[in-house]
Amino acid sequence: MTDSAPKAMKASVRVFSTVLATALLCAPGLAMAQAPNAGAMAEKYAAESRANAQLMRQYTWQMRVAVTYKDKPEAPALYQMNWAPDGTLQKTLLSAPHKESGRGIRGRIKKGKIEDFEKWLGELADLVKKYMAPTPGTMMDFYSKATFSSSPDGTVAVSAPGFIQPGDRATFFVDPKTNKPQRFTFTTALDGDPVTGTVAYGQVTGGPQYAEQVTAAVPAKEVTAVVNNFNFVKQ
Amino acid sequence: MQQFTSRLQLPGWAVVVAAAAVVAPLAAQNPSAGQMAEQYAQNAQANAKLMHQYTWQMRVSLTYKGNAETPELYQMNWAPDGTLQKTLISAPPEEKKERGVRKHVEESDIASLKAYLDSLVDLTKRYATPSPGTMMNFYSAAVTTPAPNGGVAATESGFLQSGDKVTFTLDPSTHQATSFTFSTTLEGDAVSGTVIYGSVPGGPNYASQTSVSVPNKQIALVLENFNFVKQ
Repeated sequence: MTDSAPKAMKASVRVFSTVLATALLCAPGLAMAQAPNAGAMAEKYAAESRANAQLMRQYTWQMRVAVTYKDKPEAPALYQMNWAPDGTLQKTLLSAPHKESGRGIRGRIKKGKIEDFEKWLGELADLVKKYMAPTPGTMMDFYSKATFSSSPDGTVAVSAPGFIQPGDRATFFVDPKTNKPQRFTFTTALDGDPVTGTVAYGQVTGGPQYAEQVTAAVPAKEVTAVVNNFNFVKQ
Repeated sequence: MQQFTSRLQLPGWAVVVAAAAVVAPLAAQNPSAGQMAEQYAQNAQANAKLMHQYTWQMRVSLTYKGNAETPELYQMNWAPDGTLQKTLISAPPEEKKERGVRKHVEESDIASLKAYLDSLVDLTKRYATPSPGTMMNFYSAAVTTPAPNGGVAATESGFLQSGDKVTFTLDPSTHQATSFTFSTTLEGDAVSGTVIYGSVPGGPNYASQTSVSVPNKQIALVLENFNFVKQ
């Protein structure tokens, strides 16, 4: 990505990479072990999230962000993810910058609408972020009303409505042996448009759990964003 | 008022009375946020049970564009199935198309105003009846400062949505909330609200007065609950 790259594409990559940078720290920690109450379970979730975040800081990794708009995939952006000395997460573009052209997302969005599209993408990213990084309180409410059911893949589906906003639904698919989530799905809405999200969790051997792949789709807007994290290396 | 408010039907206000947020755990002996939230949930459940033993009256007052409408008075009862029922007991104002709120609102705009007021009520309900999880986050992040009346003010931003701010004022002797204020937005409009809590001797805590205003829309709503009678 360079300054001459399509603005909308830059925005889409930027917002989703920012989302994941935070989400990576918060993805795991959904312990479904028997706990005395929802508050205690939420406390456990918070403690495990903190521990996972500490583990994550021992690693660098790469992140790929791909956006598809109106069935046309944009060239994905690849980032190197590192921790700065002050503890902030830094991302450095590794892939070749896009060339400026009338093609791509910008070319398919009317001039003058690009800012609106960028703003909307930012709102979508913020929404996804809320689902990816639930607060302990959100998890407490989730534990209080969640229902459990068996999934064909052997996981336990733990599901509840009203996770972040009225009308939504979140479902964690938990490995009953490890009590860790293998994936997470959510259905919600943004400005009235249905949004679906899927998170597949990965596990660094001896290291943190992380969001291996995050997918957010808004069919009404013909937008799909996919973020992958991989190549974790301990420092 | 009847010609307007009754058409608006604000059923949500009835629920707000149960928003006697018991924030007592906040001042307890260093429990964790999860424990405090659990205690909050238990207190709220116990308070709701107490509330079911009482009937009371509720007054709803609406001011729109500087004009105060005639308040409506309701009798609040619990139906056998446990649902809260409200019955209008004030005299219905005469239907006068050129007076009251309708004077200021075109017929075609009433529907949109009704939708807005419904959203305002829903928003207020969310602030007045926070979930245990919301309170857990609050307990984790709230900053306490001395309040002018000798109480303690506990404040947090991002209570329900980014940019909002809430403050519970607590009585240090009872650890009960005496008031709750919030500032937030609805569809871009600044909204401010205040809840004054009351307590029925030997009975439940309740929201004795809930005030919400939206200056941009020149809307002010006041809800009062009183005359609690044990059944």
